[in-house]
Amino acid sequence: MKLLNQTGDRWEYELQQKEAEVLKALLTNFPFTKLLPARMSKGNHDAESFDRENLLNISLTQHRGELKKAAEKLAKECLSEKAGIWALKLKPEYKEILLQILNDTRTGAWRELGEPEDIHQKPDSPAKLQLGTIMNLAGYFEEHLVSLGTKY
Amino acid sequence: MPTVLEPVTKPVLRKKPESDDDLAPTFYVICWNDPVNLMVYVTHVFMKIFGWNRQKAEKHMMEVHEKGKSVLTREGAEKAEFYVHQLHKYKLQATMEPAE
Repeated sequence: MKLLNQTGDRWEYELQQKEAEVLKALLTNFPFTKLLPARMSKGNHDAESFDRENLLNISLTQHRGELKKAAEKLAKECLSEKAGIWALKLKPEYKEILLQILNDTRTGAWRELGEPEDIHQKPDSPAKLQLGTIMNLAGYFEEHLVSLGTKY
Repeated sequence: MPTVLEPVTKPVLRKKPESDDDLAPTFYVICWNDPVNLMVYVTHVFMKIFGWNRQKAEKHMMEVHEKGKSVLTREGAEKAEFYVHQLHKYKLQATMEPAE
């Protein structure tokens, strides 16, 4: 994956065929894992905090629905192939959405693996191998998207 | 004859609150460490959400990484809640804790 062009508010990346296939699979199969409840506070357990946590989880459920729709759109509209060369074209808002989709995938796989401290540990079952692979692939694209063409 | 200096006790003046907001509780927005979120990603998210420059975002990211957590900001309930929601949308582990 490499940055081809960054003109104005658009990014254009060139992808190898395998990268494009993997990214497309990550997008079209999103979400891979079920959404687990999020915590609003570690120490505060009063009624107000409980309400806030409820709202947070409702909001995150809605957000995941939006990410699923966006993932389908990204796979269809932003990923394209011309004469054997794959391109990923992103506007800023799509870049952030793509990062959120990828990190939802990465952290979701990690949580389903049992939140291991050592994320490089050898999987002891085919299911864990699959989750570990998904986690690493999502991380691969995240790292490239953030590192390539992000102005600081 | 020299005058004897006596200790003077000044009254402690309390600042009058300008509005009800001054009395409202405030919260720390805290980001917690985990082994899965990439360091470059965390820095990017802090910059996006808080509008920080890279140096400040990296400082907080390193604090999360090395100390297990970083207090990102102190805000009223509504704004703290907003930031926690934003951080969770990016799948960072964030909470709001009452500030003393």
